[in-house]
Amino acid sequence: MNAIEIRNLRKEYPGFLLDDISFDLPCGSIVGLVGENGAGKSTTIKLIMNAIRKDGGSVKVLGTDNEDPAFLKLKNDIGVVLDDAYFPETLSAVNVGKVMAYTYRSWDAAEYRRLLSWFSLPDKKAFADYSRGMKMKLAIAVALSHRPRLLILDEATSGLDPMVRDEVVDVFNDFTREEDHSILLSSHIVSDLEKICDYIAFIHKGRLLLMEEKDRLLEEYAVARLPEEQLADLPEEAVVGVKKGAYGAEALVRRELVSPSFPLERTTLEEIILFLAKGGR
Amino acid sequence: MKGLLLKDFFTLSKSLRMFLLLILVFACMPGYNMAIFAVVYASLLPVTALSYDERCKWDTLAAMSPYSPAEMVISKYLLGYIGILFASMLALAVHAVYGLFSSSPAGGYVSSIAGGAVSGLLIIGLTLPAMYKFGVEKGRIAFFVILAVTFGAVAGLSALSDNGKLSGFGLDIGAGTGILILLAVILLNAASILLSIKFYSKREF
Repeated sequence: MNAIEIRNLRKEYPGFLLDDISFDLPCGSIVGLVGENGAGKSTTIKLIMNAIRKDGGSVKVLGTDNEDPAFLKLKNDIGVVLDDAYFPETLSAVNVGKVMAYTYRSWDAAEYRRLLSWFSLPDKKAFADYSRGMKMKLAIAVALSHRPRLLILDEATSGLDPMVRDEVVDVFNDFTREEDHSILLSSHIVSDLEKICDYIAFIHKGRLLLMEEKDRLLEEYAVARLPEEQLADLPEEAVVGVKKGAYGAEALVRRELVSPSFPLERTTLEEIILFLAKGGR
Repeated sequence: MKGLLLKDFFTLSKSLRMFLLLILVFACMPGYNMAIFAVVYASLLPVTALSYDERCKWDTLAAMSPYSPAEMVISKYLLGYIGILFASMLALAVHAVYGLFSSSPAGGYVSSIAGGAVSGLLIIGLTLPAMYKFGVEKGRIAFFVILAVTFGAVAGLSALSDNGKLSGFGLDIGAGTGILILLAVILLNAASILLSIKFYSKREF
């Protein structure tokens, strides 16, 4: 079963088109949605949650069409963290817990208190006085405290310092220990996605350029670093993208289409994304 | 719905303290109009809450939660109704206690508070759809226009009434007419809620 099934999703704004987005989030896995700022990641997430109206396509979440009236109740099973926490400024963490206890039917007050303590969040401090890291930790604590089966995280780690990001990534890893728990994690910080994702969906200028298992991507692609004049020696069909510099050229290639005798280096997810974003094929 | 009301209560807690103080002061002041002002002030609570929501983008977060557009809208109307009821009751209670130590008549005061409460309901019914249609910033202009027209009309009518004396917000009306006005305001609020839900459902977050 898939936690999320998206087919031919389309949304048009003046000057921006998100078009033909199709991918699945298999249950029990983590899909990383990667793309530059303004690529359409947040729009995709808002469309999944039916917070904005789609212009075409379909979205199923945990087996239910997101336009079905039943989807509203299903939101109890979905923990969402947006790019900002959006809690009222005067509320403290304790206040937020009381509000959420009346919002989500499966609210787990003990788990919420545990997470507040684990994240070292103060009980009484007003949300307005929180740092960016504390705000995001509070949002994550709320998202995890109503016993969701699916987490949808939109740039939840952006703006956090590396230590906090590491803590948060650990929390997400713990969440997926339950086999029916799934995560859709959008970020433009590719290193975070590389750490925890099983699949990578890359959105660029409103189009889905790839959706692939992360490990397979890293096996499938490699980088050839060579003098510019030797680029022609690479089989044309193997070359996905080329970067030329003062000291030579780099080519992202499909490993299986290049002779084993050719010196290739292991690539990173970030390199693959950059090559594809800059006009790869 | 309880969660939304609780959130507004926490958000408005500072304003509510000032609100309580206003009611206490106004209820003890001689004359009826000041207490009416406190009751009418309660009808502004939903707009204040909406303004806070807009500032922190609460609706964006709420769109991810199991709240329906109807619950989001009705909670704001309920906030106003509870505020008006609470302010009216408190003003009457304070005035009753104050009356023990002064010769202030109670009858006119009750009708004044009732007039204020109906005016508050009228304000909620007329202004909230504008807030949901245009947002708080633009809706505020509509709000002031509606407020000016409504109270201008009430003041004009009171000036034309038999003796021009303000009682029950100006109009010397019989019980039958009062009930008709109340029914009309209730119907207006029902239509207003439906319209607000329609506007809210069309918004994207």
